[in-house]
Formats: sequence, C-alpha cells, structure tokens
Amino acid sequence: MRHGQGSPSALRVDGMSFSYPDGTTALHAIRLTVATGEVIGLLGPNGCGKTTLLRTIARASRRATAGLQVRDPGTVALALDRPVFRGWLSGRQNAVTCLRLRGMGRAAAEDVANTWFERFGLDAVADRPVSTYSRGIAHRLGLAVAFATKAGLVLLDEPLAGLDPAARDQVADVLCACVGAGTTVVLSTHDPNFAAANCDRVAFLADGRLLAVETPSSFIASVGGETRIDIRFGQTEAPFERLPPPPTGIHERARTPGGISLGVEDPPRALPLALTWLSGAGVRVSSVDVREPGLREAYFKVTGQRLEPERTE
Amino acid sequence: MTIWRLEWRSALARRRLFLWNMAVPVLLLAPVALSAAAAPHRTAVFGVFFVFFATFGSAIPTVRDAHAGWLDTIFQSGYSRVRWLVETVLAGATLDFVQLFPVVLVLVAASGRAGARAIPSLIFALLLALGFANLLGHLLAAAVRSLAEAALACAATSLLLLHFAGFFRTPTTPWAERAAEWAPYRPLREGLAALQGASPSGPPDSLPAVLAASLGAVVLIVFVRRWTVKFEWPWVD
Repeated sequence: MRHGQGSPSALRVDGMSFSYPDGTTALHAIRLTVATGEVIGLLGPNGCGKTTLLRTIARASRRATAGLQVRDPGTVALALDRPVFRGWLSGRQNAVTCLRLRGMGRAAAEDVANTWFERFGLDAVADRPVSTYSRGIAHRLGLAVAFATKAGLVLLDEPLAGLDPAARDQVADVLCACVGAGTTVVLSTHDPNFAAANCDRVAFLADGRLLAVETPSSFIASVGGETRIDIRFGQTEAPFERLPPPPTGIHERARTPGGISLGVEDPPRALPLALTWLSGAGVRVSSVDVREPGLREAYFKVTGQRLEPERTE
Repeated sequence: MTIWRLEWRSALARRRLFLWNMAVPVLLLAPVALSAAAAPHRTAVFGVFFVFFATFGSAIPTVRDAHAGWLDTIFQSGYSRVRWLVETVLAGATLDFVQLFPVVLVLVAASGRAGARAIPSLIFALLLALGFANLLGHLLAAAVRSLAEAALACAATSLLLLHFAGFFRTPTTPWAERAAEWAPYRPLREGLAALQGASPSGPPDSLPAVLAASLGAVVLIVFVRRWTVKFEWPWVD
C-alpha cells in the first residue's frame, strides 16, 4: 500500500444497510474501513450501489447514520458524476460560492478556485456560464471544486466520466498529489485499469453488497498469471463442431455465439498457435483482443458477474 | 451572506428575465389601476397578484433547486440551514420588492393624493407580505413533490390566507374580524385600501399581523432542520 497504512481511520462503515424511501434496499450490511490518506476504489457494474454508498457517506457527515462513522464530518466533499451548479452563473462564480459556503473568505476562495481551475485546465472557460459547458468540462469543474474545498475526505463518483485522456491524467495526478497531502479519497469507477493504477485498495460491489476489499495487486495475483485472448469470428455461424481440441498451452475459457475466449500462459507463443488452430478448422477471425489478467478478471472471479455487459453481435 | 449574494447575483445574471419580471406586473396591473373598477375589487386584484408573485416565485425555484440537488449541495457544505432560510427569504423578498416597485409607483400615481399619503404604510405592508409569502413558499416547496403541486399548493394557501385577511369579503362577525387582525396579509389589504382612498373602518393596527408572521417565521426557523430534510438526498418521489 502506498498511502494510509497504519493511519487512523477516516471512515468506518460497520454493517451499514441503506434503503430508499420506496423500500428498495440498495446497500446490504456494508463493512469498510478507510485509513486517512488512503485511496479506495469502488468497482462494480451500473446499479450495484457505488453512488448510493458515496452519497450515504456524504449524508452521514451531516446526519447520524447507524453503522457509519466519519472521523471529521465537517470536511467531506462529494463530486457527483453530474455535478450540480447554477447554470446561469460562471464556473468561477459557482466555485467561489461553493467555497464560501464552506466558510472560506472571499479572497482565499478566489485564490483557491484559480489554482484548481489551472490544475484542471479550466482557465479558458472559467468566466463562461456553466450552462454552456460540455459534460466533460462541467465534470472537471465538479472535481476542481471538490478538491478545492480542502476536504479531508473526498468522495468522487465516476471521476473519469466524460473526460478526455488528458483530463484523466490530470485526475490521476491530482489524486496522487492530494493523497500525498493526507487527503482520503473514496471513488467509484468502471475503469479497472484506472483503479489498479491509482487506488491503494479496491472494493468489489455487486447487488448492493461489498464482497471483497483488497489491494489491486492481491486481486490480480488471485486470478493467476493467465492471459485471456478473446477472438471474434468473421462468420455468423459458430464453427465449434469443426474445432479440434486446442493446442498445448491453450485452453478454452468460454464460447460465445460470435467468438471464443482462450486462456494462455505465454501469449507471444500461444497467439500464433491459436490462430493456426482456428484457421486449420476453417474459422475466419475478425478480431483478437489480448487481455492481461487484471481487476476485470478478479471481479469476475470474486462476484461471478462481469463489470460490463457482454458485447453483442 | 453567501446565499443572499448568490440569489441576487443569480437574479441579475438573467437580466432579461429580471426586466421581464418588472414589466409584467406593470402590464397587468396598470390597466386595472386606471380602470373604473371599484376600490375593493382593485385591492383584491393587487393583493392576489403581489402575494402570488412572491409565493410562486419562492416555491417553484426552491422545488427546482431541490430536485436538481442544489439544496443538497448547500446543506452538504455545512452551511447553516437557518442562515440559508433567512438569507434566501430576505433575498427573495427584496428582489420581489425591487421587481414590483415600478408597478407600485404606477399604482401610487394612479391613485393621486391619497396614494402619496399611503406610501409609507404600503411599503411596510408590502415588505411584510413579500417576506411572509417567500417564507410560505419555502415551506410549501418542502411539502410537495413537483412543480405542478407547488403551484397548486401556493395558489390554494395564498387564496385562503388572503381570504382570512379580508381581501374577498368584509368580516361580518366579531370572530372573523378578530381572525383578520392576525392574518399576515392584513396590513397589505389596509395599505392597498388606503392607496385606493377607501379608508378602513378604524386606524390600521399591524401589530397582530406582524406578530403572527413573526411567530410563523420563528417556528419555521426552529424546526428548519426537520422540514428541510425533504430537500436532501434521498428524495422522496
């Protein structure tokens, strides 16, 4: 773990459940302890409870919630994937207002807002009404405001949603810098690679349940060193009946109507073998996707569910 | 004063809407003020318009802000709810007053010398009514689930309170007269009646109405944490 190890907990969730007013239970007995200065990534498909968990933590900072303790409730910031601002005011006016609401003086709020606008590349649009922003820019504004509050616990809901690659790098840089300064971050994401690269620990959520919390490296180690090769066929009729058993060092993981998923130990050696094996059986290959083992596979192993829906033909 | 400033800045950022809100009352009320309608009828029209203007103008943006999550954002910041309520109500009332000021001038001009004498009491009564209506708008916004419900609740509640204040009838029983004294919109009726030159039966005594409005404000402020929970996530549909 890069940060937070041995630090006091900034957040303690102990068997917390949450139901919406209509009776839908969104979270079941969540247990999670987050150390100060730690970055935790919540990973799971849509509807698994990531946003609800973040919102519940944010809400607990102002209303007592059974089974949930925030060490310093006064300093919690939440950045939603669709941030809420006054559309007819400029980004700068919105940011300064949000900071002033948290008790920052006018001059300090303007200085801090300017600093974070620069970090997130928002200078050029700072004085334009927020209603004219694209989704990605509005999202960056939300992230900038969340970090500018200097909150001890920052909750980020899909921080990469709608962002271009440069802005993604900015988010990663900011995460790194903030955590170095002792900020605790809990973020939800659909991107296992981002979580693996930027989170100290990752929590797998499925159907409102938190099933496992580990470091990314532990999760990846748990799925073994097997690389996955997904091959899509160039013909509509699946030719599985013509396929002989796969060559040594290759095994079938799954068959789908339009392709096959193989597990291999040595990709440089196995890939030509696999293609020869398929072409020998008269199979036309339209695409090949080589996936190193990662959190996506670990998630599937732990939860039995896929992070994203299967691609359809 | 962050919310106060925010409300004013938001209003002034939409200049066309701000000017429109000044023009519409003039366009609607000036013909009535210049007409030969009886004074009590004119008073009722002006009273309904002023109270609706403030109540709707408070409730509907509040419902919209709550649904958009803006109020949740404000409360999440740790900003005092009492300050939020006081500042937003005062900002709303003063903005309403500024936007209604041109039409008030038209009404005063149309009523001649009697109107000039009624200006101080009318301004006081108008500010009191606008403040109370803004407060009521926030409370109603917390009790409804949609903009349509907010509009309905504002109309029904305002008309009832205007009725209690005697806008639509002359109280004929001692009980009704006593109730009218405590109605928050009574000073507005007295002020508008004075503007029309139709003096009430006795000298206007605003104290009971001010006390009633203040008591209502205090109750809402004391329990603000409880009733504003409707503005927070998770929203009840």
